[in-house]
Amino acid sequence: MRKLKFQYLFLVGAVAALAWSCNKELDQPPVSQLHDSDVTTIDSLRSQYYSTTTPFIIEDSLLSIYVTVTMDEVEGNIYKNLYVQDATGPANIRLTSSSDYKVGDSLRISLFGVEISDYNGVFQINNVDPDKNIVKQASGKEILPTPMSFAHISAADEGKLIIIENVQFTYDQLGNTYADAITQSSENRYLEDCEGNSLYIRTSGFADFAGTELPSGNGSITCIVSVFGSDIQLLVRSESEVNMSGARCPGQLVVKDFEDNSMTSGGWSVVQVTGTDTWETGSFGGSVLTVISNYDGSTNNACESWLISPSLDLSNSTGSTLSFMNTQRYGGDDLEVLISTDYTGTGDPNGATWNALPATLDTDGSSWDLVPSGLVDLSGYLVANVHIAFKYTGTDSDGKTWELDDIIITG
Amino acid sequence: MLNTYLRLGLIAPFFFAFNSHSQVERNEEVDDSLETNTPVFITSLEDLDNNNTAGSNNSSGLLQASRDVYAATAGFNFSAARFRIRGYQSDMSVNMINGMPMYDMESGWAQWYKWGGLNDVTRYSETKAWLSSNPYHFGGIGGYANIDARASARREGTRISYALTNRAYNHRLMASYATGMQSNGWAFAFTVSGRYAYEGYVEGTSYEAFSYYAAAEKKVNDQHSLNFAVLGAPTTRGRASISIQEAYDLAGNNYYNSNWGYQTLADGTRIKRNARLQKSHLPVLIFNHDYKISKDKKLSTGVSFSFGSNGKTALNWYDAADPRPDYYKNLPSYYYGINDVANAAVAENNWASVDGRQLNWDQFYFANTKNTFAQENANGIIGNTVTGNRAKYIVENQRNNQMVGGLNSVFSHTIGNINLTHGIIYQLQRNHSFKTMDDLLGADFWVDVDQFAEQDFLDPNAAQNDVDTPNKIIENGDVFGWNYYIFNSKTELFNQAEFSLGKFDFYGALNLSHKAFWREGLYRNGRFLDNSFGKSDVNLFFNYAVKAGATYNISGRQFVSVNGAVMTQAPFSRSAYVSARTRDFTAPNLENEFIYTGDVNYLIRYPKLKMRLTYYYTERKNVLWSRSFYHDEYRSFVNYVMEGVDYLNHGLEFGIDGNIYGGLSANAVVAFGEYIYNSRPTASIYRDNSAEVIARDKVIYLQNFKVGGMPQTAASLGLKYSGKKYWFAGVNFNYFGDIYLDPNPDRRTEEAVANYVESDPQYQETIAQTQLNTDQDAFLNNAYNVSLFAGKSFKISNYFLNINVNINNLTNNRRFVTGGFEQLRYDSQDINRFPPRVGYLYGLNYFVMATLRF
Repeated sequence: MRKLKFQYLFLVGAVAALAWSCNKELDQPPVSQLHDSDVTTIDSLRSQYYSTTTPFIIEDSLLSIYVTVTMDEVEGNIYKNLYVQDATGPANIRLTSSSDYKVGDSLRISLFGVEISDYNGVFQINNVDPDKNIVKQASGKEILPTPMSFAHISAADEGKLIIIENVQFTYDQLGNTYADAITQSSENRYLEDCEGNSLYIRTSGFADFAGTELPSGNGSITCIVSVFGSDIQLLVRSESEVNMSGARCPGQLVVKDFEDNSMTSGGWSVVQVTGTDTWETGSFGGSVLTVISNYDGSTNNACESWLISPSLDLSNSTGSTLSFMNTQRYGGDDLEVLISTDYTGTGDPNGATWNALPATLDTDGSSWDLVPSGLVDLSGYLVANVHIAFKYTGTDSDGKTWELDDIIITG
Repeated sequence: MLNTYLRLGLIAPFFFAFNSHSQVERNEEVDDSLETNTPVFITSLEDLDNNNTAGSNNSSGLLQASRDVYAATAGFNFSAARFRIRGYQSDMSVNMINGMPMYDMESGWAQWYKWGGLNDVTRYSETKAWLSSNPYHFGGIGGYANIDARASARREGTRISYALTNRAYNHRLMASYATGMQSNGWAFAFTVSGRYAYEGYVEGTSYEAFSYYAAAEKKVNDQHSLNFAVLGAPTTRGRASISIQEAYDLAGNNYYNSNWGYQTLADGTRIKRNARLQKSHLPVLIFNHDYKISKDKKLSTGVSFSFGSNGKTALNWYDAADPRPDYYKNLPSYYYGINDVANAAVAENNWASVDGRQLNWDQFYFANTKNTFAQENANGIIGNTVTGNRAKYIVENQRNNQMVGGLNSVFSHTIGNINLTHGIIYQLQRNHSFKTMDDLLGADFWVDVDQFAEQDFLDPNAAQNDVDTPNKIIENGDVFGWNYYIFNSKTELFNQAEFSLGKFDFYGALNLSHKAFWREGLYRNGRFLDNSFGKSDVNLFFNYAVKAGATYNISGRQFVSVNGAVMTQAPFSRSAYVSARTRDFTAPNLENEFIYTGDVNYLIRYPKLKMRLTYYYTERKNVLWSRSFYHDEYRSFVNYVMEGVDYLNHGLEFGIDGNIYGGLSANAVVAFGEYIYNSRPTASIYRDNSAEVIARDKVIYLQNFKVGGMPQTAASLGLKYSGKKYWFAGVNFNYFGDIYLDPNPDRRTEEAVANYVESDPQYQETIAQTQLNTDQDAFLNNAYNVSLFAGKSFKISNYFLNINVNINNLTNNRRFVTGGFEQLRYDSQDINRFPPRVGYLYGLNYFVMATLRF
């Protein structure tokens, strides 16, 4: 018995000794604790700054914000900065050096030593050392963009990640690239919605997609709202977030850009009432447009020539506009921009009723620079059979040369 | 951001310059222990003989390894998983030949490679795996092994064996002949052995080794006998690397070896060439005089001498990119980390082909023949211009030649029932460290300058590794780089008493020792004009060690024993010299280690049932820990030194071996240990090629971290059948647990986590310790293996033939990570960027041996 007791005592003792020693906690180097009072928000910093608009430096060694990256440097459209958001709002983070942080990274930014200020209206947390001030907490926590429309975007949205649906690059921008990748200079490219509101995106020449051609369709764009002084600028994070492959605005009934070297394509017609000088296509500076002149090199000839649109059905439209580019030189009658609701589509237009439209015509007779007509409101003509005409008149003694391009009628 | 990586900035391309050394030795040991332990299981004619000759009349012999199922299982079944008994490294036990300690005095490590392959001589070494009495020497707390190399200790006759295996080598042929003690008083014994593999288990590894043993003994009369023995093993091995998981995954092979590549010979054939060869030949000569003064008095005296060459080759390069395929900048992950997808694809494409993921020798040769250079004032001779192709890539041989002499005299006598032993041991060792040019790879010369110092110092002398011969032109075979001696001398006085009292057996021993080490520089280094050349101050240490044990014989079948030891131990010179390659500079506080240990054992020994249960507890305090790494930005080694490292090792050992029925027996072994760091050491970091101190006395928060690289838990279940006609077969199932990555101390510092608050994920990621084999979905987390062994003996007239087979990892489990370590380089923002280097258990491997004895 005595032996057995010893045996058990020994076993129990040995197991107990080992059990006692197990689960010892691993040593830990001293580390700061972050209390609730050490965590602030972007909104709080923003209000603090805009209360006086005086830059200040944070000296609290623990003060931190928790944010999520909404725009990174990976595609090069921004450099040495990040856009971030927390639950209270967005901010631009200006870095002392380039970083590897990516969209969706959740970060703790220690504010020790950073400057709170703005840059031409962009609220920024400046002088942030990506190695020392930023601690990544997690990745893949992407924030969804807020849906917005052009009509509602204001400077108050500065820094926000937004998505805008049903927009397109303005017609005159098509064929351009996002920026000038060759000289690596930034460019502004105009976007419009179907209501005619427009804003521009600004893209760095260093962006990976700077040399990519703008999409011609209509669709959505995800971007960051930025400002430059009083201008609102939109920043594209990645070309893949510009999804404009849909049909352009449904009301945009007619686009005549003459690039096909045809006067009559798309149902357009030219009606010669007087003389032989008529609307023709011509190529200037790489772009094809239409031109008319009654000067034959030695003398002017009497002339009346109409460029007439196809019949437009504006009866379902809630608002329609006309825009075009134009330029003129020399002396003579101005071009007339006319609209009719009773023209049959063939024959002498003078038999129909035409009203003049208040388009802005070129007044600078010393240059061939095309000027925009402005958006000419057609809302008084929302009926089924609408024709728009450009009437050129010349006499034996004088006559201008007119050039037109990019005639766009929206509905 | 990139700067973050360099919080410490250490990288280990020449990974663990010193640690890899021990790794190799460890592998060597594993290889050998697999073999030396094989006979443990042999129930054959030979085994019966063996049992007759073994044994001791002292009851502590109960614990003798060859009889202890725990020690046998640890040696045979656990060693492939890097299991260490009680978590001790080889510096805690002592290997001896004829009672003369044989270890590297510079590091304390065992040196099996001196006599590798001589299994006929070493297999029956007297081994104790833990603390006990020791008739030769105080020994270590991890026990001892003594090889009796006397000619008369060899079995008379001839023994020829051939082994076929797929481990480190493929073939081993061994022949032994011994005369036994002849009537003329002479005995002679010889063994020769050869081991060879064109390619071992790991691709690109190779093995070419020859070993020899010769001994002569003259029995002068009944009192005096004289013995002489010589052992040696000229060996060249192509080494395996240990890499990161990404490299294994890219190569599709958990045994990927970055050390080799193809080289195209002049005739167009392509051969596999390994850049990291280990070449050693360190013969041991030993002379003994055994004097039986009287029936109860004996004096054994020995003189030993060992010397020779030992080196490891490695690539080096000048004005060229790091060519090693698993260098971090050659891996796709590096480029993904910096969002460089194009280069990541290039790296991935490289890794997709064998040529791309191995060394490109042809490119080295090509680059070396296109680099014409005129070295002015060559070899320090003004106006001497040497023009030719300066090497961009070379293979250098980092040598550590040894010369060691020993003298021991042990007097033992018996007074009544008291055995007394007194011994004196003196050893002097000189380690000569230097580099030689192994292969210029087609170039004409290499210039012996420090690449970094060339750019960093205004003084042109600073770049000179040997300022007395500046701009030294190095050709094949020349010495360069560094060149110094480290001397170690040790004198020990050893006293032991063993006696019995009623049902108790006792022993006690005291050892007093004096150790000295010093450095002698043979080069005056341009960066360290004042302390690189000549003899340094001598560092002196006095140490004591006491041990005692008692065994209580409860019933003749049951025993209880306790053992304990307390000792101090001098630091090893390899750790003490922080930057021995360039200068005499030691860690600032060289202090003795303090070790105490004890165990309590309960044993049952019935004829058909044997059991042992042990609890042990060991503290080793104030250890000096150093690692040397290659740092790619400094183009220099960097030395990381921790002082005041304490270890605590304790645990349970259980082994039971019982006969079930007839020839069938079963055994079970459990090792349940805890090996931890038990202090907060301080660390200092020194650069090798400048006097810069990168950090001083950083506190390392290492308390309770697990010592990595070995299982802390292991268990084995075995069955064995012994047939009546001299055959046997058995199977063991082994499980391992609690294997951790050895922690990088620098990650456990306040500086490493300075930018973090407790809630940041990086804080825990940086400091937490990684446990290996934690895949819950895998069977036993993959941490198991199955081994099989069988043998049969035949007697044909006077010839004995033994066939032995053992198969390890029968299920070909290739997913068991047996160990690894964290890289010293880290990025605490993304701790996975510099992942640990890990090693896997070999898949199915076998060892088949046929032995003919007559």
